[in-house]
Amino acid sequence: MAELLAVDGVTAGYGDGVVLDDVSLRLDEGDTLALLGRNGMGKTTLLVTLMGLTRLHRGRLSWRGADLAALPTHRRSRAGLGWVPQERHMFASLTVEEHLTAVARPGHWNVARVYGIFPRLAERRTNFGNQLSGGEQQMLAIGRALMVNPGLLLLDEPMEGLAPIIVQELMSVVRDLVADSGMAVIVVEQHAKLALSLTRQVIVLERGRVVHRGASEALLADPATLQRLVAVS
Amino acid sequence: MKAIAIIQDEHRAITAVVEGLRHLVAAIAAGQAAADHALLAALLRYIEQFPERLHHPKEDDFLFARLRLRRPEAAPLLDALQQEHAIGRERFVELKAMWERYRDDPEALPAFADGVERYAHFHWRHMRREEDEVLPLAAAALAPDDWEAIDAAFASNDDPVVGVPASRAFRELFRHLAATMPPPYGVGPQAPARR
Repeated sequence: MAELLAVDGVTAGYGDGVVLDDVSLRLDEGDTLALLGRNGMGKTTLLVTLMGLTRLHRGRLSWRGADLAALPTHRRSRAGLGWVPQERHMFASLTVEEHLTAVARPGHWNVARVYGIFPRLAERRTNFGNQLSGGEQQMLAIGRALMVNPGLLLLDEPMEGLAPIIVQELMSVVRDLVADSGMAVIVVEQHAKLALSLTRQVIVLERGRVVHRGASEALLADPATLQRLVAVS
Repeated sequence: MKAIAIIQDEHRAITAVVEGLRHLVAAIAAGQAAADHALLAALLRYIEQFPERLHHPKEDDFLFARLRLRRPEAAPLLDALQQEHAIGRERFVELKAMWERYRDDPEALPAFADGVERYAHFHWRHMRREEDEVLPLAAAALAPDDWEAIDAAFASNDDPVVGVPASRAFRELFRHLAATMPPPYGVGPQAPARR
């Protein structure tokens, strides 16, 4: 598989403050990575850094061999980074369908295909963003990210605050996306076992530094290490 | 060791449906939702069939069987869990009978709600024991050829009974539940209040 994303010795944060300290990782086309760690350890900051919304103090970000750090946020999205932020960022003035069409880029994913994986969104196509339940909003946030036809989907705590049935349904969809479309995925998730079951490799951050990297399958089979690293309840 | 992820995923799916049932019945009991017996029937059908047809037989026949060979001292634990699979079937039969009584007589709702709570706690305890005790033991004790056989069994979609891949049939039923359960438990239509 060709290299999709490379993060080399990245130190980044907000203004002069440093949150990420010398972080490196590699992701190939179609690969999947779980980003774990306790609260406040820099997981979201790493995703936000990939999207160009922090200050890069040191290090290099490359995307398909080109310098990613040189691109403004909107061009990173066009280049193929699909970001599903934790807050979902729904617009009260846009309908479901407008959320999808507003960001559409040519490619495999279009409105019909998004409705195919999330039939509920088709039923709610004329509803506004603030009229949706939490589960519907998360479906729309993922659908909107797919509409940019990304090579890499960045999922920031996609299951937070959702009922277990919705979580399982969304997990199945993400798993199918990975298997069927060859899309790469980085998932930040407090539910470590969930994230590990979706991914091939894992990185654990502690105070902005990588303290563990390896195969997700191995960490899933080692509850003592998992507990020590992320204090799974 | 892919089977470990599959077992945990199947546990999450069963738990999600049991928890959905708990919350829905609690909402009905609190007068926040009308009784939707078609939805209750679908939830119960999933709980009845998914563990029995797909999940427990794979645990008994492959994971537990291989573990018995490698760690004979684990027999009491595995015997107890295998017995709980049978007890779970009996408890489910009782639960379904409680629902049928409630369907015919709304006054039987409190008994059904109690039964759902008891079943959920039984299921949760059983699953935690498997995840906290059996899976770590299996990860440490089983050899690569054990995992090859177990992984193949857990990844298999064959189901001679229904004639279609069982996992697909259950996946479709799960999607139906997610699409029918009222928010916040699913993404179905808002439940009408009890009339």
